[in-house]
Amino acid sequence: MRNPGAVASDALRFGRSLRRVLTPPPAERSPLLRGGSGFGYRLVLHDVPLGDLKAAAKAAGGSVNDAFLAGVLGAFRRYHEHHGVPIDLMPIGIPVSLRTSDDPMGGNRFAGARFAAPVGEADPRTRIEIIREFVITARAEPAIGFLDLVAPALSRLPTAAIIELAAGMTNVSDVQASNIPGLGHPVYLAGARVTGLYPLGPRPGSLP
Amino acid sequence: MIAMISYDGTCCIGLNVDPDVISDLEVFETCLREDSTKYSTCVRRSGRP
Repeated sequence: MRNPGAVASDALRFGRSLRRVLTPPPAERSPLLRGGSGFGYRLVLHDVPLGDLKAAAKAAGGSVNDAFLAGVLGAFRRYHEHHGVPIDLMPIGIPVSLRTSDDPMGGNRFAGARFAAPVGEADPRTRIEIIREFVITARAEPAIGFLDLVAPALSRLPTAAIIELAAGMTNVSDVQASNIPGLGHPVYLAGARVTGLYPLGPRPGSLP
Repeated sequence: MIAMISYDGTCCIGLNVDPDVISDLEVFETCLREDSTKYSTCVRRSGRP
């Protein structure tokens, strides 16, 4: 080891960052969204013109993902107000893009981050700005992609242990959001034009 | 879980909701639509395993 001091310093920095990344976000779960057996499900499909999201993102200096998350928060704010239970913050799990200019074209790298989201903020522009700031801070954490590092070790664990770990990391959130890059042009399946592609992922803390 | 894929100019958003947590999904869907009046379509499917 040529420079043990620098290695130790890096390890300490990573350790502190890992603690920040693993600490649950500073927001209580919504009293309106508590409970649930975790077994039933309802699936909802929703369309938004990409141009609208792009325009909103551009107006507030954020990305399309920031505008998407701001829209999700806006819906939850209305839902809480409808029930007379307004809240300021809500813990949500969000994707953070780790892609850099060094990544190959078409490459895609995301890490999950947990966020005390400004669900009570009525101005969508302000919500996008707050989300942008959080994403920039989260992306700068040395330990943000720690799952990539431990994944090879995780794959050797029994399935039950992996489920337990994954549920423990996600059940502190009321909502889990994700964003998957899609296609900018129409595609065809057996000659028929595909009209939409809808991702329906697992819920936070739920069993597969 | 709320996830989005963009496809041919449309953001396709899929929600997997626990009906015990969001019991009045119709209200939530209205909230989704109202948050952006430009949300154009909303299709619902439901089921239990």
